[in-house]
Amino acid sequence: MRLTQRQQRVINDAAAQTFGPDAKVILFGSRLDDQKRGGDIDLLVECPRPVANAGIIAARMAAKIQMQLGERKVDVLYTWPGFAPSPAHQAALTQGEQL
Amino acid sequence: MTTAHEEAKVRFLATLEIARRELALLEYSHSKLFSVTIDPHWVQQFSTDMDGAETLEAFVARFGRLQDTVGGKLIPRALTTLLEKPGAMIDNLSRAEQLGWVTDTEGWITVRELRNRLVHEYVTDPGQFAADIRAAGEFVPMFRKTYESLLQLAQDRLGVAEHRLQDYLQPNTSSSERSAAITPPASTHNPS
Repeated sequence: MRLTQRQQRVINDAAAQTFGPDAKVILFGSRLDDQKRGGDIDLLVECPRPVANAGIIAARMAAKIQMQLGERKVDVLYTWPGFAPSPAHQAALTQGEQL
Repeated sequence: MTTAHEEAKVRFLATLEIARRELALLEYSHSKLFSVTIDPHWVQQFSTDMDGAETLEAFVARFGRLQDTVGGKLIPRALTTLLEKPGAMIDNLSRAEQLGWVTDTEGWITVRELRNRLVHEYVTDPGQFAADIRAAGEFVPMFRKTYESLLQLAQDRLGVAEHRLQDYLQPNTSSSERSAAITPPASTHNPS
């Protein structure tokens, strides 16, 4: 995983402040590949229950991360029990690593 | 005043005029779009409501254009006129917040993220999509506030009123023509 301890902490804090302390953050995509450099930060937030206005909350989480880590592309997907997963969600759930 | 500083001033004022026009277009699309209730039902009838879809498209495009102009050009150029050195966008926005031009940097970045979601494939849930559009709509008055703060800067520090901004967008007008009377009165008339 190519995220420093500080980056991971910033991401977890941003998730807790937006989706709540029960949310789990899974990293997926190119940042899992130690051979690559830089690149987007692809995240999937797993919530224990459905979240109203999740799109806005995900956007705010991405904004908080960018405010701390500087401008870079941060993609935040979200899911909860019963959420119909897209192919991206499925890939994140099978290949991703929890932060 | 140095020439470089004079040029920076002109660029700022020309960009402010662009922002004024883009804001007028956005406010038109905003009031047209929000003249109806944006709810899941409205989103669902989209495939048949061609006018509604076009209005939404215009709103999202105009929103993005103005946000890029203000964040990427106008604020850095305004900082340059104050002899400050612009940096990365988030730093410029934070500085703009300190100067009272922007009310909420985090909100600004949030809406930019939201806008990316509105133009991409993420949104499949009509309720979610309606909520995202409403959130973007609530941000429009913040653009108006930023524009007015920077217009104030143009008026107070550079002595340029709103109705004169358009003079700075004409590429053939040199700064000497704007400030002095070198231009012949019939400059639009072709002498040949």
